[in-house]
Amino acid sequence: MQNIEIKARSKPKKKFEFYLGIPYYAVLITLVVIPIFLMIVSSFQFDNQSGIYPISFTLNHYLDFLRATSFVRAMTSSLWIAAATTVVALIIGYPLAYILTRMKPKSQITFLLLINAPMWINMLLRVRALEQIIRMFFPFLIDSFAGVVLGLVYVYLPFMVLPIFAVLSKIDPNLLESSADLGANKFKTITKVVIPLSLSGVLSGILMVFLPAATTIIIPQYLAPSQNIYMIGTLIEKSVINSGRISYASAVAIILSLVILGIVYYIKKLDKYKGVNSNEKETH
Amino acid sequence: MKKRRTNPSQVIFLILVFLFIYAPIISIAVFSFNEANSLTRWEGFTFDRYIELFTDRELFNYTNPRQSIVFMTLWIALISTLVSTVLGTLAAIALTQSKKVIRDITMTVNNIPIVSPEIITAVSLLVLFGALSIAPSYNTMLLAHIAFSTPYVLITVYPKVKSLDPNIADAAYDLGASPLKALFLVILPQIKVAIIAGAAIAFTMSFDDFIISYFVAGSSGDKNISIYLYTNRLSPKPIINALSTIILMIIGGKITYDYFKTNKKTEELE
Amino acid sequence: MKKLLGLVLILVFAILLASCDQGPTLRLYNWGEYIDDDLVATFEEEYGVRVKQIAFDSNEVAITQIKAGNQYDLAIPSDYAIEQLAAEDLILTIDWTKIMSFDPATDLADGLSLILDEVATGVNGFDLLDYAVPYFWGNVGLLYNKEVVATEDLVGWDLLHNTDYKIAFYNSSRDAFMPALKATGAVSINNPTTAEFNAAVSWLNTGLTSDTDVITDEIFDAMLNPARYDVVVAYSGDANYLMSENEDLGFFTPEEGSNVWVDGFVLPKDSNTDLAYDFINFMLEYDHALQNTEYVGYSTPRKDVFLDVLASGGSFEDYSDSYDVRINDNDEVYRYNSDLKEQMDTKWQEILANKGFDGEEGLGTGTIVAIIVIGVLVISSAAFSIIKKRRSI
Repeated sequence: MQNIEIKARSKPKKKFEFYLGIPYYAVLITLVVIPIFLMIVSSFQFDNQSGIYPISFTLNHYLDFLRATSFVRAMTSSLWIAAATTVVALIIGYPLAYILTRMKPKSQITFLLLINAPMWINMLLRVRALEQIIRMFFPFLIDSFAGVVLGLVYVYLPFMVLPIFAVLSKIDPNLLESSADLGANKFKTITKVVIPLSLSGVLSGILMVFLPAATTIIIPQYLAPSQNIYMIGTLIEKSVINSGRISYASAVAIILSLVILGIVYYIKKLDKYKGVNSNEKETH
Repeated sequence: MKKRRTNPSQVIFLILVFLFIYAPIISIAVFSFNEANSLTRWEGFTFDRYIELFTDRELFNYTNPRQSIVFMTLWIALISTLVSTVLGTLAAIALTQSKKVIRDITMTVNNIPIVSPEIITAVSLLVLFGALSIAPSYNTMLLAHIAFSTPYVLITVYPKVKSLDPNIADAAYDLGASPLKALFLVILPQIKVAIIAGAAIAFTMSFDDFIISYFVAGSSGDKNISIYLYTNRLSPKPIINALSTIILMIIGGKITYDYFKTNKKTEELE
Repeated sequence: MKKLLGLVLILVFAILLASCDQGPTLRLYNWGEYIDDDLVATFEEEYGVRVKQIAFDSNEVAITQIKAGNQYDLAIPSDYAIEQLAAEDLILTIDWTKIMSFDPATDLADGLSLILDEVATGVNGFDLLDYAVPYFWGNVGLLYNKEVVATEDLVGWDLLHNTDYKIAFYNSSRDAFMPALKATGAVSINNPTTAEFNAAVSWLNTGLTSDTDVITDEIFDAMLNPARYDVVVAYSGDANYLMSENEDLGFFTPEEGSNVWVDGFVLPKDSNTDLAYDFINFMLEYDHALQNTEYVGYSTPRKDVFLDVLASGGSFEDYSDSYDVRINDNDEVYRYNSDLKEQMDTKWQEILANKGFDGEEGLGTGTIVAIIVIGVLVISSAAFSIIKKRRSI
């Protein structure tokens, strides 16, 4: 009897709480979903068309881009730069996260905060600061592949450290002890226990570094101002800001998205150890 | 208990990494006091740059704040934070009452702006505003900021709302509270911390945003601080160093505040 | 924390609410740092008008903004942009009876008259004076370091191909293609044939290597003593300024021809024309035109001011190379041609994208490897999941 009463009373509450979400959905649909569809439609239209009507169709933007060897090269070189950045960030970030987990909780907080802090600072300020230091002490790095990678690592390193740290700190120390008890030496423990368990964090970090690095526009403009390192983001930026060719930019953006989706899909497939960690609950 | 011996190579590694991270930041701060107009030669210590900064009409227009880059950046951050926090929090609450299907779809769509590279979100918003014939301005910047902040608020607040004990809200209804009252007096206070966290994230994302703001409004002359920094990158003005240092100090202050607060918490736990 | 946030909120609210427009306002849409602010202040005082200056950094942006409905009373775009704005019916015609301080029939500097006549005559003639009042004019040439560059190397635009020197091109499609088209002998920069266009593209591809730079505003810093570049493509007005700051610099305009241009006041639709004409008249008075040209460095349209500053004792006495823009038959004004512009813009980005690769033909090995790797990865992982699904059935 009582259950029915409670259910009856919670119905208006349910409806009320449902209505609460309407403004959010309005924003979500108009400012997230619709723009994506519009972008796809726009990429097949001629430039300088005001509005969506009349609906024209052309593959010119896609063909122009794919036929231009310099642009295809720009895209793949961006991917290489992003890959290099990810590798370097991993090489620095993984040991860093590991060292952090071995600290006392109080120091952990301090150092975490110190690593975290730059993320709150405006990215342009950080890149400019780095540019100054590079021009002062390492002027040969300006306009070079290494310089751009360095800049990207500088900006996105915390994005690699934090997910790895999160995952490493959840590893039950008992697992490490039992591995030692079963006769594995330190190296084997690391390769067979620690690394697989931290894999999901590593993959998370890889994605959070690779994606922004591949699509950056700021770093090459600050650290390679002579345009010797021409990245795909630069093309989209110039098409939009300098030439106002939004349909063309949409086409390039979509090609870029497809390539990135492919890479992300592959990386997600690698994540076979998701949720293996006993302390980790699989959250959606 | 194994005694933790400090590994010297680890210490060196840490020092190198932190040097790498902080050297540029410190150099900005130091050079903001530079007498010379250059960013590489040092001439003398002075506060002049800061005076120039606060009297710069482009950045700080006291008689007409709507033309001041700094004020408008703050204004847009404030408004977009308010709107996105309200939207996101209400949505989080609404999601708890939704069917699993709706929840899953919503969360997936919600994550799109979060995982997408900013440049793609920027182009899509640009297409939207073009299609609706809305001219680039601070207004489009504001809409864009709301667009990308709201999802972050949702993912921050939702886990907390989900973890609430539903019996407490039910008890409120049993005691005769209207849904509105239950919302304000029961649910919201419990998730206060998550709401504030979400708002902080939304504010920072808006204040520091560059790519989306630049695409959506930058060419119109309506700039925020990031756009200003970017468009002035070729003709370096030393007041930028002063501006940078002030922002650094504010962030530094916030970080130290956080540090002491969390320190207090861990002490209380111990 | 909350209290602090609340305080900031109140403060910003208060400041923004307190803002209100006082008195008549003139909205001036202009290039950055293209006017003497002291003059603006004087105008504000004398006429009791507030001048709100909004800046743009390219004609394209300016046109987009005016089209989008942003309201300005006065704008100062360039010749081809004025043509486009007129064609799209976005600006008003000039009522010359309202211009009292200046008579276009007699008071224009000679070189400027030649330019305006050239544009006005011919099949697609467009009389700029119908829609604009000249503001500054000039050409594009080569600014070079006299101490470094040998006189015999000053052959023409091909100097930009001389790898003995540190070269910088101007980072804009128009200012890159113009030297290219002139150097490869195109008849007209406004109507190149496909062959001429492709020749220009090759010329640019050869000239832009990883050792050359592309710059815009950096020129103001880079060409001060000691100059970072030996040869740069520069606007005549910028050259004036830099030569006065660095005595080692010289300026020359290749005989093959260059781009001559004029920027002018235009009145967008719905402009407050009374205030606009007041401002135009003010800026074109002898004293003010003199002050403006001395501050900004670009060539003034007023003939008397022009001759005076070039005469002995004048501010630009020693800079006649860049201030006294000589027009020869090969010099051209850019015309409004949106198709050509789009072509040039895309090609210019392609050329820039090619720059770092120094003439490697086709897709480099890196590209091909990347494409193969990505393709293999995606296909194999998709294949694996399909196989897995089949297995589990």
